[in-house]
Amino acid sequence: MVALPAEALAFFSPREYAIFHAVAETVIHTGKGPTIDQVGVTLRADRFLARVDEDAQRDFHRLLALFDNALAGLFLCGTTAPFTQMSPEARHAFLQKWQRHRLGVIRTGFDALKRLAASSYYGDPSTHGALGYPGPPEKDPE
Amino acid sequence: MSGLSILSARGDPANRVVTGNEIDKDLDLVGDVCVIGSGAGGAVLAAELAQAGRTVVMLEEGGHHTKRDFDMQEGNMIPLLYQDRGGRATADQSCLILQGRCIGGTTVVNYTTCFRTPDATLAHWKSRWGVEGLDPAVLAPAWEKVEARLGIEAIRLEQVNKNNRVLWDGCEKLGWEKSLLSRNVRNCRHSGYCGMGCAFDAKQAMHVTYVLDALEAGAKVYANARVDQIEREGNRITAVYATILDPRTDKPTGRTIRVKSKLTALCGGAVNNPKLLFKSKITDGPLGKKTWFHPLAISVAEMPYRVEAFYGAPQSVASHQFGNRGAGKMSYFIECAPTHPTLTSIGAPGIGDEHRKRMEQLPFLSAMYAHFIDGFADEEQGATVTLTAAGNPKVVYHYTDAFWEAVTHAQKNLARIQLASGAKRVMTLHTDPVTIESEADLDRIDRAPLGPNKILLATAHLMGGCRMGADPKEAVVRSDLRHHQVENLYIVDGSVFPTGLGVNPSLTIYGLATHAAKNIAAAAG
Repeated sequence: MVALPAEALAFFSPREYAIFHAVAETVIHTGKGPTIDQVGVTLRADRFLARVDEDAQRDFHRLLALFDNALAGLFLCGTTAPFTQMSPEARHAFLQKWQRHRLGVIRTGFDALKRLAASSYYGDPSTHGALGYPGPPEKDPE
Repeated sequence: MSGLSILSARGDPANRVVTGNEIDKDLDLVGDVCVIGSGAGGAVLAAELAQAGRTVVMLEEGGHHTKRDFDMQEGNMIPLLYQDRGGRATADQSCLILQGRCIGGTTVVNYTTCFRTPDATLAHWKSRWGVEGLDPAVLAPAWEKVEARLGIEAIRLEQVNKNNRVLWDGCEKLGWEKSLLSRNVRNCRHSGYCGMGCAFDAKQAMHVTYVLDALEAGAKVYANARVDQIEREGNRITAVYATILDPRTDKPTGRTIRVKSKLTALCGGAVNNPKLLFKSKITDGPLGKKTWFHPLAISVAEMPYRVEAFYGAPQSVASHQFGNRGAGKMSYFIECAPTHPTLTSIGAPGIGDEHRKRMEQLPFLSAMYAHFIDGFADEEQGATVTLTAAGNPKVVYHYTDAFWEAVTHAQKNLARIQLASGAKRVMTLHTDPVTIESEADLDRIDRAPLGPNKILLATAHLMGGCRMGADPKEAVVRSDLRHHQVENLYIVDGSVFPTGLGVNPSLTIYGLATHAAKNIAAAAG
């Protein structure tokens, strides 16, 4: 189980935190940039989700429950282990199955997970240097 | 309710936007007009009405942010300035919805592109929907007034950034139509950060123009004031109720504002207007139906030099080469997109190594997109906006075969432009992206699977859903923007457009609000 942050979680349960952390590790390869833990990707996602509307919150709780459910994995993708217990290679393959799934609702789930993971990482300026993105100009002095 | 605030005298130079944290008691306000929303429609209308001597109360659910707050970091600015903290999308996540939520609305985060409404679009509205009185000659004075106020003028070719230059040069080589765009800026620094709020106040967004005009003319403007209900009795609105939100948390503070006014003007846009009307049980007409997106599909080119598409005016060139493909075909127009890291990471295909490889090409990437002009075929439904049980908007876009045909057509032509401009390779944003290195590769685009969540789509142009027209069964408002059934309710923003425009919508909204304000001021007199 991944270590929980020192700060209290605002949206995720500890189990959900571990699931999303595993998703983020699979979606985001960091190259020469900071790690997802250095950026605090899962905590950033937690803070984001704490302020979206109740419909989006309910849907995301359901999505994470479905995503790590072994029975759902068997039914939807032919896998037998929960996502959090898979090898990195198996996680990658599992996410790709969601991305290309014949059921639109599963592709929707993939899009939601990927977008939140990607924006939580690349929304942090510490990740920009490794991309060759110099960042914004100086503001005028007040 | 407790307390009674009397509107201040017009012309008070100390008049300013009041934010949620400053409201420590329930407010009971009166005025001639209550304007809900402070974007392109609401701000212009409020200023025009206040300058015409009407007492105006403007309510905005978003916060009040200025250049001091704009740090040009997507991770901070997108949650601060966009609807749903940047997460707004169709219910199936197939189309991202980029819309502002702050004093000034989407004008604070748009790319400043300004077109007058095409004559052909106005003619279609008249012939198909019975829209009267919106002829180009009638609207010309309104546009001239707005263009002068907002400093709207065409960019010069030498100011075009490398990303837009790819579009310009590609069209030049292909012999295709192209134009330099008009923008609402003064002393633009060409920083490239229009989408995160202009940190230099060069963009003539509503919060630095018409909202200030409205305040100077005496309007009372409240930020963090989310209107949750419009009270209707018979065919009249009797009150507007707003919940005050804490600017730091966006949670209700327990304080409220009630506004009793002669007229109410709804200016919240094509998603929020139906949401509020459904919640208020004002459901007359085809509310929330035929909402138009100009949905866009993107083509990304790897150029042999640093494009740095994140710097410079994000949009300065357009091509309307395919703006009229004829009956039975969906038309589209082409513009460019900046490539800041967060939005790029959302669009970049793949996961893991594949995704990272594309992100590390960032400085060399050129991005352009086709906006599909929806709404001109009667069988099209566009998007439908309804209400969830919890009272939030649910947006569903109904994609047609004509739409998917146009996507494939456009991806090929976007690639042609980029190749003509010297791209090493071009990539679509299908789930399995198609890579194109020459004309011979273009047929591969025909074989790429298409459908919701199989290609990245987005919209920054929200239109329709409260459309204007002559027939109350087919339209929500009349041509003068008054609600067909509710005699003291007006809707003044892009949601009244019967179709997509075929051009970026901001100037049409500014002009329409300027034009409509004359009648609304008279009705409120």
